[in-house]
Parts: sequence; C-alpha cells; structure tokens
Amino acid sequence: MTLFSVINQQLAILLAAKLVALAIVVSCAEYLVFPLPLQESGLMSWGVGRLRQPLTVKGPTGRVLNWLLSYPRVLGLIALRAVIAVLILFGPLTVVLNPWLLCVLVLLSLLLTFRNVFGTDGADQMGDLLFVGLTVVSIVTTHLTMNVFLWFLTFQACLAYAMAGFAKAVAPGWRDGTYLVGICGTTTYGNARLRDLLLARPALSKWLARLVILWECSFPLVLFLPLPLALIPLAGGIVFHLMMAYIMGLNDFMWSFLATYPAVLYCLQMRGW
Amino acid sequence: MSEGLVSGFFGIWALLCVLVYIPKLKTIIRQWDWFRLIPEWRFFAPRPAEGDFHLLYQDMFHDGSRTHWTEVRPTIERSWWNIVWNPGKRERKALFDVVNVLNARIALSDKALEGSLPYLTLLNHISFLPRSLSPAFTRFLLMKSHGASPEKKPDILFISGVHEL
Repeated sequence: MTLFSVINQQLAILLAAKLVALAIVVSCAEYLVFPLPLQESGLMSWGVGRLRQPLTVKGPTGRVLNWLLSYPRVLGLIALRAVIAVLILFGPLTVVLNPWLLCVLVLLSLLLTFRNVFGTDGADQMGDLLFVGLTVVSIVTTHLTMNVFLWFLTFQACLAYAMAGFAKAVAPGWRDGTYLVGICGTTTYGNARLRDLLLARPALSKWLARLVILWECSFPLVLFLPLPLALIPLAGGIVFHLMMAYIMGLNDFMWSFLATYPAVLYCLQMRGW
Repeated sequence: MSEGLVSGFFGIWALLCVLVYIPKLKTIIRQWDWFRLIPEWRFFAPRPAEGDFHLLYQDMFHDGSRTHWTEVRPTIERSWWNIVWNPGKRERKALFDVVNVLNARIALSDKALEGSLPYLTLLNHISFLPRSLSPAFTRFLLMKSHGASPEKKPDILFISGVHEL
C-alpha cells in the first residue's frame, strides 16, 4: 500500500500549516470574543506579568514591550495574528511559504507567548513550534530542508505521546484509573456524566486509562510498522484528540496535534516500505 | 551550506527537546527558553489535578467588620460546544497555572511569596473585582475540590495575608 501519490512533500506541509492556522484562528477569535483574562484585572494581566524580570519593566525594552503588549493594544496584535492565520488557512502554497508573512506571524505568536505567563497550553506551543520551523524552511526552501522539517514534526509527535505515556505508566494512579476519574470530575477539564459512569464502573476506568497509556507509549512504533498497520496509531490519535476536545474542551489542542499527522504520513512513505 | 545550517538548527532543537526531560538540564534550558520553544509534553502526567481550584476573597472594613468569603466563579461555564469553541478555557487554565506555581512556591517555603508573580496575579485580580461597598482591606483563599468525590469537603490550600485596597 502506498500513499505517496496522495501525500507528497508539499501537501504534507500545506496540510500541517493549515491545521495549525485553524487552531490559531480559533484561539485568536476566542481571545477577541472573551478578552477579560487579558485585561489589567485579569489572570493574564500584562501589568503584573511584566514584573517577572527587570528587562520587561525598565529601559527601552520595557517601554517598547509595555507599549505593544498592554491591554487593549494586545488585541490589535491578536487580530493581526488572526488575519495572517486566515490567509494561511485559505491561501495556496506560495502564501503558506511566504517568509515575510510567516516572520510576522511568528513574531506575533512569540510576543503573545512571552506576554502570557499563565493560561497558555500545549496547543499554543505546538503552533509556535510548527510555524517557527516553517519560517526557517520558507527562508531556505529546498527538498532537503522540507524533508528535515517534516521529520522534525514527526519526531515532536512521537516524543510528545511517548513521554506523556511513559510519565503515566510509572504513576500507579494512572494505571488503576483513579486519576482518570479525578480529571473527569473537574469542571475545568472534566465531564460529570463520564465521571459518574467511571465511578460506577472502576474496571472501565482502569482499562480506559491503560488503553491511553498503551497508545501513547506505542505511538513511535508508527515509524516501524508496515502500512496499513501503521495507520492504526494515527487513527487512535484522531479518536484520542476528538475525545479530549469533547470531554476536556481542548479544542485547539486537537487541530495543533493533528497538524503533525500529515508529516508522520509523509515520513512513513519516505521509509520506502 | 544553508541546507546544512537548517538541518543543524532542527537537529539541535530536537536534541534540546529531549534534554529538557533531564531535571538538571531542564533548569538551564528553561532559563533561556523565554518563548517556550522547548516543550515538555506530559498530558496530565504523572499526577493530574484531580479537582478544581477555587479562588475566594474576603473584604474587611476599617471598623473591623468582615464580609463572608465569596467565590470568584469562572466567567464562562463549560458547555458541550467546547469541542470546537471554548473561549473560557484561558481563564480557567490561567487560574490552574497560577495556583500550581503558587503551590510549588509554598512547598519550598518561599520567603518572598507575597512578591511572587502568582501571588500578585491573584491579589491584583481580586482587588479589581467590582464591589457594592468600599472595603479597606482584602485577602484571598485557595481551595481544591475533589473531582472523584464531589460530596467531600474541599481542602484549603492557602490563605493570603491582608492587603490594603
């Protein structure tokens, strides 16, 4: 079975960029619709956050950063970031690999990451990783650099799932399912109906948690399994992220991580078997 | 030449992403990773928060009287459509992060706790809350409920000092 005619190098990069662009569009829209945490009174206040180091308070850097990142000006940066992400989402490969556009997007994203000490998550991080990498590739666009970038994304996906899986595997509370029930019982990341179901059926909780551990730990095997068996961990990933989005409300996490899958698919074909 | 530089760049970046899991090296890497480009993927492991954090505040007046403890509820509650649209997640995640960092500092018996970023963030947040009366002082309280046992009384994690408004 070969997917080479379906997922070529350019398509893999295009899909990865578009999926993360979608995550950024959603994230920016969420900030703009509900900017309360970014306000001076909020839990993501720049007025407090900038106190973490002298560089962000004193001197020219402090003044420039304060001008750029204070509320409500930061909303302008977020809106601009959203516009660029929309261009990437709907644009052709020439737009997606436009170094100027990518440089501005990366600058805005990193400024936001720098500004917000609290409240960001893995989806933001994966988005930053992907677009910083893509910016480098857009400056030196060759077959080799695009290959290296796609392998880097594949490596990040394997590392993320495997490290998370190993960290869970050594925790007895994960292995017996109690942590899973605990998370499902929170309002921040949980779901009351699922909590009640898991509380009533501890065996289900235990085996569900073990299934997650097994899938996460074995994800890197995707690179060693023959096709079409190698597609099973990827299908598992789609189910996993859909469940996380539904149960935990991690909506942009789903797009950001699924953005690595076109790279994984491409690398599977690169193996030549 | 430039292809080699790009390949080297991604190679070093990937290497740092592995080295960050070594505790001694993590401290060094984190000092320079201002833009959080070296991730440490854990996905709620090894020990997730098995309950919600609750922020409460209490105001005091010049005559010594006090208000009841009042909880600062999340502005937007969770809904089924959070699968695609979840604007309230930043606020909830920010509180989660703030409390986690504050807890870590409390565990280390940090003497400069009241000048720390998480402490100041919470104090700033409750100081800005709209009030119908004009209290002179305020303080905050952090509690943690039990996700798997909602009937269990929440644990008190921390009570702040009293601060002038």
